[in-house]
Amino acid sequence: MKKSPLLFLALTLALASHLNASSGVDLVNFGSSSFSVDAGSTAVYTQDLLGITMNTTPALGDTWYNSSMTKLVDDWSGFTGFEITMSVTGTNPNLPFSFTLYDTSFSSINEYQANTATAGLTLTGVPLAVSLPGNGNLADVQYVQFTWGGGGSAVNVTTTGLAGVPEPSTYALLGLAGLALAGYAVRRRRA
Amino acid sequence: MNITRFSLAAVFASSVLLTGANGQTTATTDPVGFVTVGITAGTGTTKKNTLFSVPLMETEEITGQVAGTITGVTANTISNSNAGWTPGELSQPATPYLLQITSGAAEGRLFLVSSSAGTGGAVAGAANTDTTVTVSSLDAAQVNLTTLGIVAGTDTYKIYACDTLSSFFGTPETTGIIGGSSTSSADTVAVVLNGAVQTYWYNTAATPNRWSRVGPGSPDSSNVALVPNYGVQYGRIGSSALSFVVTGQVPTISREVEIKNSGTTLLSSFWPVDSTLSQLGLQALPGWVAAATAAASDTVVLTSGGTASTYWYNGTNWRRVGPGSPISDTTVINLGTAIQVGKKGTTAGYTALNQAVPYDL
Repeated sequence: MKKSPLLFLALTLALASHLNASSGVDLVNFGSSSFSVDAGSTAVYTQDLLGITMNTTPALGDTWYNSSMTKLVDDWSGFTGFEITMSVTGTNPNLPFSFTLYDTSFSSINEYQANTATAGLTLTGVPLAVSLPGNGNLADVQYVQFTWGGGGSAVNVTTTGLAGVPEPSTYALLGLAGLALAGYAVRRRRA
Repeated sequence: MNITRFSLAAVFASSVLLTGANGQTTATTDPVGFVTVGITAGTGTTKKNTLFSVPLMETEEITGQVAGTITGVTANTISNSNAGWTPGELSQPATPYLLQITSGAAEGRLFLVSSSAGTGGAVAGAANTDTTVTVSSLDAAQVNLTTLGIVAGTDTYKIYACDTLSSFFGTPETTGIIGGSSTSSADTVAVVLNGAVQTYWYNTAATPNRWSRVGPGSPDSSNVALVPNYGVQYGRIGSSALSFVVTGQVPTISREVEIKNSGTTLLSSFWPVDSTLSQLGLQALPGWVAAATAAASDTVVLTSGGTASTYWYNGTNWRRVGPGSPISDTTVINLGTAIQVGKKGTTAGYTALNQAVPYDL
């Protein structure tokens, strides 16, 4: 069977755009096979291959961070924003948390804030808003830290990873891939 | 809670009215005094939390004008063309300073002056010049100074010293805090910086021993500033209570402090007198969410004896989360304590809380 160059182009572009099924590019998975939680962490959590689950009433400052992790993309400087992939089981008490990226010298790159409000029963990309820009290098991220802002309510939350929101050029690449796929479909229908 | 009551009478005993021999010359000094703030004992194995704050302002001798008239303002700088400061003297990481606006539309605003380097967890930025200070990035992220109505040539400022983790808490050898190789065996201190919580402990696994931040690399945090507008959560594992004597100047003007629109603010009680939940004025803050239940409302958390209590405003009264939801308008906010303010929702930014001086001067 003759391969369509349009199909090849579409698949290549889709692969190049490196997008996952949600809205961003997977940067880190918090599952135990690729992410080691540092023993200095103070949050009560469990970790499996999927991610990190906390089923507790977090106190102000409860935190976890990594001692090592496998980065799926080395250089994060091309992303315009980040999302933490999260789900909440049962009542969602809308708890605030912060998320900080550090470089290899432990300098804060950016500090972000969000809350669980927009997390769904299924895994959802919760946008992180920059609350305090740091002076580290996004091309050199080595550590991440999740910290609860208190709130006094119980929550059952699972976090599976961090995703980057691509630059517009990456979206354009995805759009091009979509057009190519559409073109391929039209050609097949006419054939 | 181990708080020694503060007597305003004792404070004002230090306010001296000087009259010359001829009865013609009169001078006054700012009222000064001291308070003792207490930390509830833990059990030895389990921590108890105390929310506390540093309620007095620390006066300081510097080269140049400690107080003066503002001659210029940008988004993150304040200038006094006649200041005569020594460049860099207000920007040393280990000895941070505060600048308070003392008149005009922005009266009571308090800013941390940026340090010339981030050593020991100081907030790095531009060093001061002989005429200009740069406020910390923490403050600049909250508000653009040019939006505050500061009038150059008219409005005034005053500079105060600011405590750090190291200068306030010292070491286990001198103050009785419990250090350790990790937070599980040590007292902890948590501060909220623009909504993000940072936790510190005295790290005896580091050489030399030092205050460290809980996080990657456990970095040196000796120079983290304790800003009087905001509080501290002290997690005490030691089985004895602690107390700290704070000396300084009694606030004589109103204060204006930023409350995060979504998330947590650890607000200091600030004034060296007790107040009540109603007197805080949070319920009148624009955007404050009041509803029939705490779950749907913005909330306030207070600690007493290591026990936390949550309160919410239902549109008419403050009520405590608990059996009967008792009315709590007159619940006392002890001097030297702090209030954990939790604002729900996702609204970005900050809203200013303005509080008048709660005593007659």
